[in-house]
Amino acid sequence: MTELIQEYWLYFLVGQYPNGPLGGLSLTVLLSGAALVLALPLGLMLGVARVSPWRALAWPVAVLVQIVRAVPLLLVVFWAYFFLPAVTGVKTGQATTMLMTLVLFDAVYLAEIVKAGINALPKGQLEGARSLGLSYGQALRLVILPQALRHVSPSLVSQLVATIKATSLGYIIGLSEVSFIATQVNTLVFTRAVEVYIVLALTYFILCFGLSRLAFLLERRLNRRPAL
Amino acid sequence: MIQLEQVNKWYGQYHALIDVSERVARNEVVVVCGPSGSGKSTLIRTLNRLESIDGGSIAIDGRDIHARGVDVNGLRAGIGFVFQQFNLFPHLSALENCMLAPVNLKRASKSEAKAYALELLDGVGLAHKANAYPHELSGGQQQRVAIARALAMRPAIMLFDEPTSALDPEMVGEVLGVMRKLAGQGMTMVCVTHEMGFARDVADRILFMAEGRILERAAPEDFFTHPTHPRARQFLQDRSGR
Repeated sequence: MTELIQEYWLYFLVGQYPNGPLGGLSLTVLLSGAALVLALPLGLMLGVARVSPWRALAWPVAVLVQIVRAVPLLLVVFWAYFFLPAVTGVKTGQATTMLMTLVLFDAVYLAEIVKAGINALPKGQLEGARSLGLSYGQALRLVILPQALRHVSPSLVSQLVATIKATSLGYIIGLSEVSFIATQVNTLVFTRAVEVYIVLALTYFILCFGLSRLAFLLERRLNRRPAL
Repeated sequence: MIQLEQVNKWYGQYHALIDVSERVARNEVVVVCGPSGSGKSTLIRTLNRLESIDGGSIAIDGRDIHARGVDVNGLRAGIGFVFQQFNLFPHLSALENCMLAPVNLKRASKSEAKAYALELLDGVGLAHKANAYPHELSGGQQQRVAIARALAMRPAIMLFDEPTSALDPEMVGEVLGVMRKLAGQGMTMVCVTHEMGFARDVADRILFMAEGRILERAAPEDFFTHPTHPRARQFLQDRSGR
């Protein structure tokens, strides 16, 4: 296994860069990172819109959630890459396509988690805040979300970890993320499939475990305040 | 100060408030009592627009509060509301609960809000619990913090919606004590409560409600010694039997 790593570590790490687009593990990390950073606020906004008392806001989000949830991510990646450019005439790169798809998917799932967190709070919390003269937005920001998000943080972390793994679906549109590269390596050396895919699996494990540990530490810092 | 004219409210087919008209004067303490389902909670919740009304009008200081375009947040900021379930914010300490609204509504600077919150907590006997979180407090203590939180906005009116109904019996006294003190300071209060001792001692007037109507309005001594409406007599008899 060591010679395998010695031979291909750079390819595994960055793909064909600098002679081609950035790929490999770097691309996976960048893509997941960007997806998380963009999807979290979007998911929060969609979640808040979904539970909002204004129908004009809640309805479109509900429809979006139902549609996105009912379609396999793989299909959406496919469509976004092959179908969308044919219709719009704008050709997007593989990485951009993958990122947009991930953000959309993630945000929708995060929105449902946020919604669950908000709905699980006693109705008296919103009433208590409103009775003091706080606006709906202030009540949400100061009273509802701080509690709701803390309650659902395990689900949020699971969803974010799932995002890291979902970047591997970029494989289907030839995005040279780490799974794609691993497959390339496997083709090159041909006889060492088990080792190649063990390395790949370990890589994902380290990424995902790292994120959940990081989330755990963050959570513990926030939880200096008592459990609810 | 508070004036209700022919207020009506429906929940679907159910007529929750029927032609309710009433006045509450400044500095007056009014107790609303009656059997459960009589509409008393609904009534008190219409006074700060936690519930809408379907007919009639409610005016506070001459201003129709259910009219279109009324600044509902400004209205509520001037009316303290105490809930049966306290509704303290569990992620904030007692002190922070009392500071949240004044600071975020820009009624006071942080240091002013803190000083006043501590003063209020001291007033309800909980200065030593300022940094405690709601789950570290007993029910009676939580309700006293909730009263301090409502007072932190310096309201002109305090509304109490069954403030002692969720409490263990031994904690009822401490909350009623705070309410007595408030009444003594001249606060305008409307209290929905089953505490007849409190009603007898503190109330200026008692409103008896059943089935969405105010059936009797009387001074406490009249209400308890010779209630006129048969439903009120029945109600008092049922309660004295306990």
